[in-house]
Formats: sequence, C-alpha cells, structure tokens
Amino acid sequence: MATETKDGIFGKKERGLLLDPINDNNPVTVQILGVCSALAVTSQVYPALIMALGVTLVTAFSNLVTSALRKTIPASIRMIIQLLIVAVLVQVVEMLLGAFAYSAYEMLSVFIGLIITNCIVMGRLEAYAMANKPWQSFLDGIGNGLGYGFILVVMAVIRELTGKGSFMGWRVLPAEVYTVNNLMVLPCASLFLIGILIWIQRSANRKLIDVS
Amino acid sequence: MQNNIKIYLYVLVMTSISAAVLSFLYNVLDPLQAKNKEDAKKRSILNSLPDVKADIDFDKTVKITLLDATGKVIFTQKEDTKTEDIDKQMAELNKRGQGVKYAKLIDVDLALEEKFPLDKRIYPVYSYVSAGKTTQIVSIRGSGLWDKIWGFISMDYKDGKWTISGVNFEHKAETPGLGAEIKDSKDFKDQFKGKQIYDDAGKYVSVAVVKVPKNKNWEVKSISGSTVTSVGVSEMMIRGISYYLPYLDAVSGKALTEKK
Repeated sequence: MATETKDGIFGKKERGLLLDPINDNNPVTVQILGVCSALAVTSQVYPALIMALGVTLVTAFSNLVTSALRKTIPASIRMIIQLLIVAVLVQVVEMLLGAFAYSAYEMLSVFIGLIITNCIVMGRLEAYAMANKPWQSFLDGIGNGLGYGFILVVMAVIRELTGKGSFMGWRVLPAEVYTVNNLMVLPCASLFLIGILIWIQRSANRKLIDVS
Repeated sequence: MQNNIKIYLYVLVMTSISAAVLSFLYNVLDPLQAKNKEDAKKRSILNSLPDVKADIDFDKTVKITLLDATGKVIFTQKEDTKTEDIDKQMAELNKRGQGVKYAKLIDVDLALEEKFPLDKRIYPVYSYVSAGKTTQIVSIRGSGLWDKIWGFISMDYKDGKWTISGVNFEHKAETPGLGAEIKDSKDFKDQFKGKQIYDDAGKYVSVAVVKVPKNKNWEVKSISGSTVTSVGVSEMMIRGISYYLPYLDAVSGKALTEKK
C-alpha cells in the first residue's frame, strides 16, 4: 500500500482528479450543476470554448487559493472569503478577455460575471478545496472545469452544426444541402439536448446505472 | 471578542489584497481593452461599406464630421486638422457634463449622446474616401426587442439620389437566430443595397422594414419570427437618418462636382 503514496505529484489519485469529472462524475450531466450557463452559451463553438476556459481557470485557481488558505479561514466567514476569491478571479478573467479576446468578451458579456454564481465553482471549494492540499485541489479544479467544458463544447458543436450549418463560424453544411433549424439556436434546444446527453451517458456508463 | 477581532482583521487583509490585485490589473489591461473597443467600432463602421477589405486603414481613409441637433456642421476633420483643434472641440463637447468624456473624434458615440436632451446631441458622420469618391456613413441607434440596436448606413449620391450602398447593424442582446439576424444575416443586410432615402417626389421616406415589401426602392423584407426587432430597425432607419438630412442636402450639391 505504501507504493501508492509514493506516486509523487502526479500519481493515480491525481489522474483520477483530472479525469473523473469528465465522465463518471461530470459536474453538468451527473451532478447537474452549472446548467444555466450550459444552456445559454452553447449556441456557437467559439464562445463555448472561451467560457470553458474561463470556468476552468476560475475553478482551478480559486481551488488553489482557497486550499492554501483553508487552515487560516475563520469557519464563520468561510463562504464570504470563498466568494471574495471567486469574485476577484472572475474579474481578472473578464479583464483578460477584454484585453486579449475582445470578440469573445463581447459575445459572452454577462455570462463572464455569472461565473461567480456557477455552482460548480462554489461546490468544488466547499466539497474539495476546504479539505485537501493545494496541488490536489488545483487538479480537481482543472478536472471539473474540463468536465464542464467538455459538455459545453459537445453541445455547442451539435447546436452550431444543426442550427447554423457551421463550425467555429465556418459554413460547413451549404444551404442547398441543409436547411438550418432555428430551434437549435434557441436556449430551449439546449435543454432537451442536455437531457439526451445525460440519457446517452447513463445508458453507456455502467457506473451510473441506478441499481436500486 | 478576541475571535471577532481576528475575523475583522482577516476580512480587512483579504479585501485589501484583492483590491490591490484588481486595481493593478485594471491599470495594466484597461488601455488594451479601450483600444480593442475602438478597433471594433472602426471595423463596424467600415463593415457598412459594400466592398470592405480587411486591411483598410480607418484613420487614413475616414474623416469624421460632427453635426449638432439641427444638422449643422460643427466640426470637420480634414487632412491637416491639428490635434489641438480636436482637443478644443472635445473639451467643448465635454462641457455638457453627464460624465461624458471624449478624447478623440472616434469617441463621439450615440450611446453616450443619449444622455443629453435631444437638442444638445451631437451626430457623427464618417466620410470614407476611396478612388476620389466620397461615401457618407451615418450612425443610427434605436431599440430592439431586448435592448438597444444600432448601426451604420453608408450612402452614395448617385444620379441625383442618395442611395444606400451598404448597412451594418449591431445589437446588444437580441435573440440569436431571430432578432440577432439583423447583424448575422448577410441576406437581410444586402437587401438595403441600392435602396433610396427620398421618394420620386423628393420627400424623405427612408427605408421601411415590412413583412411583404411592395415598393422595391424603399422597402425591405423583415425577419420572420422577430417582428419587434424588425420594427425597431425600421423605426431606427427612418428616425436615425432624418437627423443627417440637412448635412446630406448640403453635401449632395458638392458631391456631384467633387473630384480629386
């Protein structure tokens, strides 16, 4: 058993932290967190990618900072401090986007600010970062950000393809071949799309099949 | 009590650090963002031209004219306009208050002008010169379904008539796939090309957005499923361009003979 703890900074446990949230413990399709933004920013692939990157950065670094401070944070105000950390990081992401990815900044507008209220971020802080070491928490944050981003991008690819006949803004399905379906661009389309994704995942992944 | 002091101190230290980090980053990144915003606006103006190329230099090809609320020219940018003159004019405009602080001609924006009463507003005209021909681009702004919509209309004086050569619309929060099509749909925007703003009798009519266009010179087809946004565009086209009529009339006499 001792060998497991000697795995170093990137052993089996760390790999699990990164990969579990992508399938077995996906924050969107399994824990049903962060659905609000998953519904709203998935009509095109590019903003979805940027949003995924933003959430990954915020969860990873807020996990890291919270975990580093976890022993000093007074228990009675821990949520306030967590929220402060998240708010600062979101503001940083917003400023970075405005300076270096302006078109994405314009497209995402209010949703960047809404990362603060994304349940995944606070959820990971409370559930993981407050009780684990900084490095593991950082990886957990990246993993959950990627799990969220993965679903976001899958949905965006499907919606952009069927709703606009394009991919990353390039028209790939010519108008003569495929008549675009405007319904897929509307937020309601992502609601049933997310349902279908959950359905597929639950039938394919044995660990998620409800045995009760 | 002891415990409370610790909590207060903790919060104080944390918020101070956060404030320091944010204000430092703001100072570093804000100029970059302001430049991006300006570039996006320039691109949006140039996109109203029919034959827009990506490498057009805005500052070299476009001159900005400012009109007052009666359509009278209050400032014209020329090749040899000095920076001091612009500064002076901007200071004059900034005197109107409302927190509006212009530094450059490109800063003048209808979004900010909306803070002033109608008779104090300033309207910018962008004159694009290419191959000796001057195209006038006017800025218009109105309301869509969810929030503001705005746009730039480029017009040429052809055969004694002001003819639209291209339009570019922007929106803040219209529904993707429906109202947002005013920006995203090339077909919608292309309809405006060749439309006129005066009818045959010389009366100002602008271009209306209607369900079934009957009059090919002055009407375009609306976007089905987004009536409110279409009506907003229609209203914006009619009211928005009307502010520039005195200027267009004054220019049109000149445009016929102007050669470079």
